[in-house]
Amino acid sequence: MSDSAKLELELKQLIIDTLELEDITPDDIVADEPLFVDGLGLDSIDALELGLALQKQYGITLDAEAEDTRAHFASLNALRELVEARRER
Amino acid sequence: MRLTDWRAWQASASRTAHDSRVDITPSPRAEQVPAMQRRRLSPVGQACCKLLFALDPDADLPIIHASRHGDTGKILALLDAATQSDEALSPARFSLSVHNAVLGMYSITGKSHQPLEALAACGNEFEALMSEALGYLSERGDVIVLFSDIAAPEAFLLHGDYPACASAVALRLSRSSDDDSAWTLSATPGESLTDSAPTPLEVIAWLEQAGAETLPCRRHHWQLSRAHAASPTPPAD
Repeated sequence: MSDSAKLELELKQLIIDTLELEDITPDDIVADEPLFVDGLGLDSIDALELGLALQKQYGITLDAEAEDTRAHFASLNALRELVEARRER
Repeated sequence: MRLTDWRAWQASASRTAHDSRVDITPSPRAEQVPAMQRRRLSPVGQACCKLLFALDPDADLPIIHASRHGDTGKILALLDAATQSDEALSPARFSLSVHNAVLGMYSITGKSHQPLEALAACGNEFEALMSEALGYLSERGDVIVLFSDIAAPEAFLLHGDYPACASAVALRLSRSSDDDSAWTLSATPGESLTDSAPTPLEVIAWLEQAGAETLPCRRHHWQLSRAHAASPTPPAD
């Protein structure tokens, strides 16, 4: 498994555990589909919760007001690219 | 005031024989609530939603909810996180730790446009619910009262008046009823009143005895009697 695929699986598990998604497995999360609203159906509280998890796990601090924060949360692929580029641990 | 229906839940592993209106599933699942909302509800929160949907499937009655301790587990976890310098507070836990969270979840799911009220009653929840219900019944035909509590979290095992197990009970109260099976619920300013007030478990036991005993509270004894045998009188005060 490539590093990128490993990180993808790790992020899926992080989302499932952090957001207590009952009945959802990593396979249910499609990497290029929207995480919020239309796709997986996450909401604004999930976005905040996920922001905290990224900070704790990878040391990434996001600015809630910044325009690009929205883009980072668009899909699992976007999230993985963010972690690859900015992780501190 | 009449008691026209009720439902209850208690997380009791030891109970076997029970009234069909009492659910004893250890982990209740409120199927009516979509999974993405349901995941944030604790077992007692799920049980509360289940009871409400059973009594009022169309969500068109006002509801009053009281809980002595609310979701202490969530609040303790938040306080614990607040004492750690590198730990941030969970927004999801916070959103569900507030007093009216369960009714909020219920109303979103059931698309309720009715009055929904969460009471903080400092340990006298049952009487506060009854008093509030009487107010609603002066203007409306029916109201639901919901009383729930959790078992003591580990940090509070030696403190507080938690019930032995998590439990919830919902009563549909009506101003009048033609149904012979409806009970009249009345209160008498009783002697030998207790300092303590009933937990949901004691209310469930009282309901199951169906009129055999009174429910002693801080201000009144509450009595169930057959509707045709007594007139529906509100408490004296």
